[in-house]
Amino acid sequence: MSNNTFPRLVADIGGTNARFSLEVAPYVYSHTKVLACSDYKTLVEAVESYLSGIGVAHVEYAAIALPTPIAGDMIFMVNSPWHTCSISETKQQLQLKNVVFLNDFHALALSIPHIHSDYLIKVGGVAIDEYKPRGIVGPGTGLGVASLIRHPNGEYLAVPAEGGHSSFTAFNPEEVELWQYVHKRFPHVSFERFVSGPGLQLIYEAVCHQQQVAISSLPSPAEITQKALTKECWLCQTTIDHFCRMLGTIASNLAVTINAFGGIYIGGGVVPRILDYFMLSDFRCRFEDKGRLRQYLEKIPVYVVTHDFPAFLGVSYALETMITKGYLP
Amino acid sequence: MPTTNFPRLVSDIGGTNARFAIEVSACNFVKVTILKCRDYPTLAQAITHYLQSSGYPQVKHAALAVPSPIVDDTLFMVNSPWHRSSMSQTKTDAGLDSLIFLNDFHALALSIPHIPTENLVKIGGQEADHSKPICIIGPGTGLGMATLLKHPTSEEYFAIPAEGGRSSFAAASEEEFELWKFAHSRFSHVSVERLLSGPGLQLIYEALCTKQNPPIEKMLDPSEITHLGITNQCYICKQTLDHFCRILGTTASNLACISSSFGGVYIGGGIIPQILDYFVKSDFHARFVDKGRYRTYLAKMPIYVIAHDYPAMLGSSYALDTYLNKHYIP
Repeated sequence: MSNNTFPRLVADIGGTNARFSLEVAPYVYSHTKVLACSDYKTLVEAVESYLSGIGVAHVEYAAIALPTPIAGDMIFMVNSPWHTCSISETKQQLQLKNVVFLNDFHALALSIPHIHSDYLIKVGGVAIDEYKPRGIVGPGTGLGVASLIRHPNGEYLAVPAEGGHSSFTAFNPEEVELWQYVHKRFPHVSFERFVSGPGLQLIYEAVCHQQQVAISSLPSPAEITQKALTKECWLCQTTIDHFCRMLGTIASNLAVTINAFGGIYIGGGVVPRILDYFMLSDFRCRFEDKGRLRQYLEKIPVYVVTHDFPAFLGVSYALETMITKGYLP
Repeated sequence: MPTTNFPRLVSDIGGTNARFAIEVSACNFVKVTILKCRDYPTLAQAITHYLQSSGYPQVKHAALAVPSPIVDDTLFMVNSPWHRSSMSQTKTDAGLDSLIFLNDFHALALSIPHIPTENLVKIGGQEADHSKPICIIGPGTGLGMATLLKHPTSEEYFAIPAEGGRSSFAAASEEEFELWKFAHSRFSHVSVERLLSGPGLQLIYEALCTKQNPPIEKMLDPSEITHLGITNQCYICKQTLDHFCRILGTTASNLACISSSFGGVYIGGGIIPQILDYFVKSDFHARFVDKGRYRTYLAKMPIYVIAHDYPAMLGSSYALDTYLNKHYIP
């Protein structure tokens, strides 16, 4: 690792906030700051403001995670005030020697081997086999899915994907009814329709329909989780119960599809907010409930990622690989 | 590439038959022979017999594709007389210096970059992006799945064998929920393999028969169902195949979403090549792309049916080569 490439800028950009930090030595971060995207016209302006705010004139290397697919030079940020961003222009305007942009779930996948065990809450299973594939699933604004593969030579490679758009698999007659309700609105019912922040509202609606309860005003995802945790609303509790079980099904589908003996990791914004409830839910029970494959699944550990800035670790690994080996892992 | 370790033995072992060949130089196979598994009490005896009778008793390196997960030293081939064979004991008994075992779908995945284009039937999508993942799905006795990745800076490939056939069945229409309910009354967890396999053809057929008035009670073999379906002799067999092709479309597309398979989606296994013309005209591809906003994403992915007599041998050969030269199984 070439030390004269530090400090490096790392960033995790969301729709509302942009988190910046300075990587001063491998995986050592300093001056972490959260800026509101809407205060700046462009990403370049936000970076310049961050750097001048911490008294750093210039960095030569940067790695940036974004909640959008990265293909080609132009990046489209649907829910961001910045809308678009050109990779080559950003590199030129910030006078960077090298910059990597990657999808936030891609970054999360690459971060997994570097997350300290203090930030991983284990939900069942035995020990991981670090040579085997890892699966990442994270309900937030959408449902992110990725895999992390360790090449036999020790390098990690992430497979960012669109697994959230795989078809929802109803597990029991009750879930068949939820599917039927949603199928009337969307011809294709993906897992993301249910297992995401907006999905909480859809499950709530479907549960109310099932229970023949009229909805006066639809609660927000945050209200649903809040009222379920405080046990103020049994419909919200039923919603979260369904959510946890459905997350068990998709996590388990992912696990058997990639032989995830390296573990399944749950990221995204929703689960850390309901952590205690989640730990007591049917998630693990559903995860293992795959008939003849129960013994296989019983071995696979699941972890909830509670690290505040996991994407930093992932973009650091990506940037290091780009600098030393010339490819995006 | 060092060539000193040729000739080598490669084999593709099924429940009933074992296909053996001698690789005399890279991907050049001779003496391809099919042996009946039950004629040999042990796998090692079958290997020894083949090497002797083919005139290559000096072979010291071998790779075998087997219908078993590779977890520890014991092979788990339920329908084979060689069930619970020890891998290390087989190596010793057969007098080999190196012997590697691969799950058959692992071998099939590794074979893909080496299959000649005339053995691939393209059934939709655009050009493959060779830097992107490849996925493989194949209904046969069971439902095999695997993913193949290319190393970003070299020509090395490595596979992720898995048990994706055991992921949950995703019914995509009211009719498919009827099938799910029928299967659910028998199995608490309805994996997609319950429907997408030889026994799955029978299950779908049976579910459709029970809905007839009066119910049909005649059970058919998987090969009878496919034959009567493609020759248009049996309406319920035809409906069975139609469901089968559509469910394979949804399942292949779920796998493609999880593995981002812009390198291509490959269909292997024994069933589809038997109904190829029917399959090409079926709703498979319509269902494959039918994922709402992800239609254009999926429409780009090229899909191929593998029409090759022994593709797993190409993969076993690649794995053996990597093992002998780089000391890992890719």
